[in-house]
Amino acid sequence: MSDAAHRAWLEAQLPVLVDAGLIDEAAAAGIRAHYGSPEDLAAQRRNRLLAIFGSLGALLVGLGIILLVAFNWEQLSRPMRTLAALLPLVTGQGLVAYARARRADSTAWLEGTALATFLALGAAMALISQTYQVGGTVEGFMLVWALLGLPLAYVTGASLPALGYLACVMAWAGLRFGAPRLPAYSLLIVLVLPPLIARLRADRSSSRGALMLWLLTAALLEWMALLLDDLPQAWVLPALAAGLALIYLADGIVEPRGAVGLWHRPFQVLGGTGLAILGLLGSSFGFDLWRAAELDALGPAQGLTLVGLLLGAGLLLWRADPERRQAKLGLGLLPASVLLGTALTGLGAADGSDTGATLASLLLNLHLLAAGVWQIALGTRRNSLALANGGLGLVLLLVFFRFFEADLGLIGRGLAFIGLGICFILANVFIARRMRP
Amino acid sequence: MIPGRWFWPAFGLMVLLQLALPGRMILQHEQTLRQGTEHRFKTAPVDPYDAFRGRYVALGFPDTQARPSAELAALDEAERQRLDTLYATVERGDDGFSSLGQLLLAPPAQGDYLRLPADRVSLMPGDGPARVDLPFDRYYLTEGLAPEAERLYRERRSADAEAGQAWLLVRLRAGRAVPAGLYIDDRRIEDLARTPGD
Repeated sequence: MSDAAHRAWLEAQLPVLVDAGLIDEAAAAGIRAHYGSPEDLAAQRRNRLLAIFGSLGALLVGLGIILLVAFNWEQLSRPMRTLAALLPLVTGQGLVAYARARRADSTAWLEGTALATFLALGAAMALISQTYQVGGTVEGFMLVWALLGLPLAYVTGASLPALGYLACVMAWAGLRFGAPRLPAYSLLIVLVLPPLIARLRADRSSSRGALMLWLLTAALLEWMALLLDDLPQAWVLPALAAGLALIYLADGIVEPRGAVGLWHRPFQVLGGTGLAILGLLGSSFGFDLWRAAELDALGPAQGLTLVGLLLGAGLLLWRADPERRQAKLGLGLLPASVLLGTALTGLGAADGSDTGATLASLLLNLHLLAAGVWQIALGTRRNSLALANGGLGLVLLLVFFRFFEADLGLIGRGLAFIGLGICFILANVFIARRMRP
Repeated sequence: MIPGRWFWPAFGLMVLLQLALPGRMILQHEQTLRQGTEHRFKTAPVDPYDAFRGRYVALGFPDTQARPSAELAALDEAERQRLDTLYATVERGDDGFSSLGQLLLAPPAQGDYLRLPADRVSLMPGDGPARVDLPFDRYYLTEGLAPEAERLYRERRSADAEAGQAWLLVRLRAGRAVPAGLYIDDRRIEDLARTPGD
């Protein structure tokens, strides 16, 4: 039910409660004041719509200007093109000043003008590059655009230029991907954190807050990929598992609390999905995830990276409040199993056999199965359908993948399925006994 | 948002910064176009696309080698890694086309030269000729003209070995190069693409 529907329901219920003598008129008025009048809600909705349409309008106009610029108006003289390049930028800057002076309380004006200026900046640089035949790569262009646009996020406090900056920086790192970009990328991400965190503190639960969190999570994932790019192949899996667990477990710090949907939980969604995919790939007996994994020695920085990620994930799990810790235990502990699997594979590879890799896959199967069952049991105990369904989903995916795995013989698969079925029946009996009054 | 009284000074600084960089680019390129020396570089155009800056022809150059100076050749690998900028002299040949001459650690006292970021130069061991990735690697055209320009170049090139000679007119000043025109068979590419039969 939407806020408006909740409010309408409450409005209908209050006279009934007063008539029934459960609350008096004063209490009803107090409740109305607490949740805001229908007019307040309508005004809020109107402002939100204005902000969305204002931002979308600015985005479309800005992108349209970039496309017009990209056409290359060779009929225009150089001074005219220079003027055409700078005019949208100066207009945008003027509108930002106007928004601050006259419309300081309007999110639509603030976000719309800041975004339009950010895009006009890109258009100006593009047209000047075109006019003077400036060479250089697309990623170099994105970096200069990002750095020149960043002050908009600080000065106006709007979230959209910060998001634009983040998108440009991610494109810069992604277009020429490699570990040497890591220090600069880290610094570039840190540069945008102050305005981003300030905005998130103000409205983490809004759609804009959710958008910021999704982009921030994506930027963190890219940072982690750059970090892992330098590691020897065998150590990438435990480091990746630890990094994903860090993101998965950091949701309690970054994401809004309370009953919000998955749209507001990118850390949990992306971290959890990443861990589940990694676990499922690692649990496959036919997939080459554990192959070619001789344990090469790690350099000091590489060792520190791996230990740091593992300790970080462990610390987050340990420091989480008991309720969250229990709920996240299954996937949160996956890095430990992946590390053990890596060690087993490495030891096996040293002898030239596949036994270590097979044991590692078996270990991951057991881990995912235990994690799924644990989550189902926890969900049942807490009456949380989401938790129980998450666990059930994990187990079903595991079963689905194993059923179709051609590398396992029919007899092996048959026995494994019977064993699994018995485990489920036993778990069911156990849960039913525990829930008996 | 930057609070109260700090907003306007911060806003002013932001506006200055956002206008200063494009402004500086415009100024430097205008000066080079107006006062720079003309050089022609033989080239071969192909037609790619840049989502932000539009359609252009990418320029490939047949001869981009430069001889390292004695000082440069004497540097060991670690010293070469630390290099930030190099300078290549530009020499005009008897056929009227220019090519790179010597690769230096500092700008030459006289004559035209190109200022090159070190990562655009692939040095060979010792005094072997270095390969230079020239800084003018694209020429922007309107959406319709760029593919047409490439087609014309290919057609003329395959029809007659002597025809389809493409060259880029570049103006050089204080190490900076600004392309001033792309020509095929001595005709500006914009004119040629519009009226190929003339």
